[in-house]
Amino acid sequence: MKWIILNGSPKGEKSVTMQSIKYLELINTDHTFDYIHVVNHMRTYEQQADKLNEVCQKIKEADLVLWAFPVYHMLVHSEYKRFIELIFERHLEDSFKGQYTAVFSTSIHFYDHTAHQYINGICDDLDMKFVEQLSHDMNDLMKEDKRKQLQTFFESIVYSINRSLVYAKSNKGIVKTNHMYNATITNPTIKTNKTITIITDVKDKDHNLNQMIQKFKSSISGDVTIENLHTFNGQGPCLGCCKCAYENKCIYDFKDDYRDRLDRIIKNTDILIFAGAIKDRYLSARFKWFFDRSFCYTHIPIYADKQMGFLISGPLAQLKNLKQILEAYTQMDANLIGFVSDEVNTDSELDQHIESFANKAIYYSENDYKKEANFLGVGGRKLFRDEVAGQLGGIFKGDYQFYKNHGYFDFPTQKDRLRAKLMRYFMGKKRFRNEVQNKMKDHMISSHKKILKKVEGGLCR
Amino acid sequence: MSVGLRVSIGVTLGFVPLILYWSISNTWGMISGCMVAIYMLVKNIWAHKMTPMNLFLSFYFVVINMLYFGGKQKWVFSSRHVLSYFALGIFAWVSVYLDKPYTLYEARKSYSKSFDGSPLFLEVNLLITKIWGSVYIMAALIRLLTNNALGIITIHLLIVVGIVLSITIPNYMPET
Repeated sequence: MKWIILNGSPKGEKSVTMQSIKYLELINTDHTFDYIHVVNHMRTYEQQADKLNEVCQKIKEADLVLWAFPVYHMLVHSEYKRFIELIFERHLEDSFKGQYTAVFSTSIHFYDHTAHQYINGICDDLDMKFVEQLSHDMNDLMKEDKRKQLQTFFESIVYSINRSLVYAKSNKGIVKTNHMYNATITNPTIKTNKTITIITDVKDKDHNLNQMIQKFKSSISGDVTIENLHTFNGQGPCLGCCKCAYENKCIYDFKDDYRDRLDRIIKNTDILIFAGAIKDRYLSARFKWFFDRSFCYTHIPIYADKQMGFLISGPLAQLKNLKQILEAYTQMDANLIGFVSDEVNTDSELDQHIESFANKAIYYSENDYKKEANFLGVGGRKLFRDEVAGQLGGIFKGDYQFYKNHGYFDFPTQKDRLRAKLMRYFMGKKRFRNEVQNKMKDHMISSHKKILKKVEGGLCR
Repeated sequence: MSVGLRVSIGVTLGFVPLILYWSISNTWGMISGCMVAIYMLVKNIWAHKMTPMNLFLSFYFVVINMLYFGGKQKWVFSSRHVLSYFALGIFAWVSVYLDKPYTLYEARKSYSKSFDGSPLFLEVNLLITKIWGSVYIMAALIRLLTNNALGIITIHLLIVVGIVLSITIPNYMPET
């Protein structure tokens, strides 16, 4: 069987992900593996159409297309994303249509599900036959049971192809929004001293997004800066070299203006608005480039005291995965203002949404409102905390120091553990257990009732 | 003041006869301990607050005074630490075995009536009594096997641990 491996790592053959694929190649000698190091060759594909056509020809002739990538910033690497954009831009979908496909990734499992969901959606959009997916931890290859799992993943793909099994698609096709928005520009209604930055990849042709930005900007009387990602003289994408890990110094620092501009945004902004147009099932690859390069701050929350919101042009309501990524991105650091998209029927409707969104942004910022994170933020932070306290912290010294200095290592304390141990002992006693279980509702609210009593008595607010 | 601390102070006051017995290095310790124990028993019977500890201490002191003064058993005084620790340990474990931990009666004085008969209250006191029973038995063994400063320090440390646990454990009791 002929396998095409679409490698999504900027490290090429030295990718951690590729070591797992090499393992499969070594023990499945009756199959051939053809590696395409997509990220490394993206510049060539951009400039030479025939090179991308060659890749597509290989894909057409393969028995299986394996999307194999490390997770970058809740998705795939920006250049991998660009590769996907290029397929659609150059109408090369036919090469993928009807081909069997599977997904394999390595990561620390931080939002690996959103990356998988994205690629799964792309496969469905390309009308491929999606068979399997597997997400491994970066170090799983060293574990015998995980190697066995990887081989079973491989065998199950072969099993499906040999029997011509076809599985149901997970995603419906996206219906694009058609409403041409013309904003009603009025005098600013909201005055504020807060500083606002709009990060956008807007181009002249992005009519709706341009109008949305203008509407937002015109609603506020204050300092609104627009940072267009196309004006960054970025030298290149994140290389995954992890040189930033030790003290958050990127290999590109002083070679391009990314770091300076990012630092300026971090330093000078109270309210951060991301304004982008949806491309396939995410924002643009340029936006992804911006997010990936912010890894110069590794796992440190850089937007910690900021309000963040999103002006999105495109079918955001149909892309729950994208919404989750953006919400999770915000919850790791900042406070979410909300989302506004141009999925409306009338201009006045969108005018109202943007004005309300701007009002809320200012209100939140002026009241220092920080909502408690839900599972997206809490789960993510706990995962980072454990990784940084463990193996990752050895290399990512910058993270370790930051987490230590800012009390991020909020593991259950010795006191908590002792308390739990004691309670387990008592719960092991039948009459104690029965009593607690019978009065569980009262036990659960006993501390809450104390607070309410204090509030009632004017002892606290 | 936490309820646990209040209970601990109450229990310590109940130990006054033993404190006299341990700290006065002549037979007056035995005699004064006996007198105070009987005084506390009578006082608490009068106030309808008699506890098993009152009964035990009165019984213990009457017996050892009879053995010493009547039976001329000198070891009752010379081995007073080992003897009293063993007696306390056995008393504690017997009360656990009978499902009537002695600390429960001391604790009742400091908690509201709603805790009376509560299985939570009973289980917490069973654990505390077990801890004290273990502390006493260990202290007796240490006194029996050694008579040096390290042994004495260890006993004191055990007692401190017992006090700390007696104060903290009730705080973890689920509330309603």
